[in-house]
Amino acid sequence: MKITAAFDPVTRIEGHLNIEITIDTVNGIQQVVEAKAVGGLFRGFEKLLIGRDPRDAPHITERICGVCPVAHGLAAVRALDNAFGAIVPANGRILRNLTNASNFVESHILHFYLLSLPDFIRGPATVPWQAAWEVDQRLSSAESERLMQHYLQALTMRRKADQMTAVFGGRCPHPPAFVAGGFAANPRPERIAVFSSLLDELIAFIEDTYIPDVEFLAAVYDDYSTWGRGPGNLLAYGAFELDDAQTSRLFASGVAWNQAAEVAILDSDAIREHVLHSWFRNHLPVAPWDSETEPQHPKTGAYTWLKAPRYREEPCEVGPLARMWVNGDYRRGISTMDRHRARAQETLKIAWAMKQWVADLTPQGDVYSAPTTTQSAVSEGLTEAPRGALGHWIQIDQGRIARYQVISPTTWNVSPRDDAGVPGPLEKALLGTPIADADKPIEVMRIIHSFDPCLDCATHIMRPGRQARIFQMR
Amino acid sequence: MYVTRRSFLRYCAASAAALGLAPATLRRLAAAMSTAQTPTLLWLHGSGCQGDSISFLNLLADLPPVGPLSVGDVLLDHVGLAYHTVLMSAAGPTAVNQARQTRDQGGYVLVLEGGVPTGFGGNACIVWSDERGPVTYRQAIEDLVPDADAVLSIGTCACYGGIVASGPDPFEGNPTDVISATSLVRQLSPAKSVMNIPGCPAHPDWIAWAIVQHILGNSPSLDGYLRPVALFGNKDLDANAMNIHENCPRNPSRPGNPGLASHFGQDFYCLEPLGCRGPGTYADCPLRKWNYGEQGPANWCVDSNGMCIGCVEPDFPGGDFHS
Repeated sequence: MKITAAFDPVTRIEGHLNIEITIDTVNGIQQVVEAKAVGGLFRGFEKLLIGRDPRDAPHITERICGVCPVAHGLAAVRALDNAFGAIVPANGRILRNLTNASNFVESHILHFYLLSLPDFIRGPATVPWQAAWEVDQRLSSAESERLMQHYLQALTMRRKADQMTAVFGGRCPHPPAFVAGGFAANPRPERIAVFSSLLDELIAFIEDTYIPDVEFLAAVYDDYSTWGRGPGNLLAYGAFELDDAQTSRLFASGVAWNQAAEVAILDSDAIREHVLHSWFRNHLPVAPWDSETEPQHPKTGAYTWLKAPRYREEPCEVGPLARMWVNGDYRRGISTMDRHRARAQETLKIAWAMKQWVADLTPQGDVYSAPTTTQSAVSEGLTEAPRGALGHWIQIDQGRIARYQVISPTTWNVSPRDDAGVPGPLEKALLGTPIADADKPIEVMRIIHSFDPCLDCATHIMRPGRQARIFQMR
Repeated sequence: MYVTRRSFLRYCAASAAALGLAPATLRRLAAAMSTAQTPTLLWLHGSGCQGDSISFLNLLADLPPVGPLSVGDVLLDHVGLAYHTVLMSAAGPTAVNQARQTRDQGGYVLVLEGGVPTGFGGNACIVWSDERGPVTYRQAIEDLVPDADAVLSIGTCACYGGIVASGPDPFEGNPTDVISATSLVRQLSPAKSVMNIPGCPAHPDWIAWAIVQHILGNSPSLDGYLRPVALFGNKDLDANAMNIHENCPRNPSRPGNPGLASHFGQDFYCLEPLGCRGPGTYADCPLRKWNYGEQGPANWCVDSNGMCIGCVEPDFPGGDFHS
């Protein structure tokens, strides 16, 4: 019998997500035959930036996301650097990297332990761990208890990573030190010492606890190394510039088609946004910069406030697995557990890179070179957030922000069907997943969580006009 | 490892100065916690970024000599976090039931993070779906306020509207017509106990302070913006109150300070010429600082040369930061 159900809220993500699934028995197996991902919050960040001083953009856009504010601050100052023709000194580049990298480490540890692990272990017999579904629990109580201890340890470790963001950034969340032309703070020796000691603790935790825990879980739940694949296309903008010319990066940009080993060069002009299944007035697919957003609700065939970005008309997954794949660091496969594995391995790769970057700091070197602000410019700032490729685009007129556009990682991953009817990466990843208990589809939650969705980031791009009338969201 | 009531008291004792607790208060807290049930928190996310929840996770640093404590200890033993979508195991109808059961039992603290969109019928923020369909943040607040013991608005969006209600352009600003969660609660239930803990994000100690006050059964003195005077006291109420600039170690009037900054990247210089809002901002950041660990506080905004942007004030974010 066909069952259609909405699971709203999807918890242990950032932001507001509703997942609507249809479950049916096909070839004797009860499985997901249709999935729709529905975002439930829009704020219109691009609108409230209009008219502001361009230099306000990092402060304002960090508030898009309390979990990955640093990547937004970085994307914003990269766009401003380009607009102003700023020359960022080496120390400024390195401090940006260290501060963003600290936020990656924090976000990845938070994601595995706090957001994902409760799908697999038995938590303490109290809120917020109860009431849980507790379906398909394969760990012994001793194993579950051990991972729960690591969960509590992870609370401390992620807090230490936030300290690292704050050591140079000022505080976390929402560090104020990201400025066009470099970084506001200097690498004072006492701060480098604190940062390095925290980094060593985190490396030990990643090596001794995080990676072994992921490998252990992946072995017990080895069927999840097959489920949750998605479209198989992996896209990265690249991040963490390793030289002042910004030609070499820790993570390269590129696109891998259908799990291919070969990586194609990324051309950001090949991005198009589709709106046929989004609550916006229909228009042909256009580049993000040309996209006009006129809400239309209700609208036949539409079901979400997210648009559908496509690269050369294809849906693409972004995130740690895409970065590690494109960079040639991880090639095992694409699945629920591969996302966890690639994320954990990326955490270690980044942490070790940070050791080198700390050594690259020059104590007396400049962190900042005052840029010449401009009256008019159009520019882009591309980087990576913990959850994947992040782009900010800015247009400056008469010295003020005239337009601002953000495409966040989750907009790619949780996008709806495109104009050709092809589902977004998460929707596609859910199709065909066997479901044991249709009332408690834990399999769906496990796959959703492997993408680490951040709807806070994804749904701010909606720009409804003042005159728009929206009758209901159903 | 699951730390007991005692460790929460030890945390409060170790950070008594930071939390503004007198020894007598600590004794009262110990007494209250030996008898009182742990307060139940029902924490809703509205239009915001969930940064206050992430900041809350930084609560209870490893403060010497207390030893390792984490927010896990608080969650396990000191508050019942009955509903919080970032942390709770339950999803979908199971999660919605949890909110309803908490409501039906009554006596909870309703924690509101994020502003309330009133445009588009409130549909710019859906918190869950029930039998009748999507439920907006506004509807959920309307449903949950009557049975709440108290309401705690956390973060500047919930307290005053903040970033999501901002924008200099009269046509483009506040795109979803956000009002503060606090103002909605005041409309719904003028007599309800409401406290604002602003900040973008709110400092975890401020959140802890508010929870401790609730456990103690205190009614802290609030200013006209419903902020506790103990944390955000200003000159309107107390001529001796010090703003961030006056408390700032970089205040140029202090001996040995180098003076006024001319650009970013100048340690120890006063950032006022770059736009620092310290002179108009009342919070204890220069004294308390941010992101505690074994080594003490990691930093704070001004000492990263990144300026105070006045994130606790009711008019945040206001106009240009760099002016």
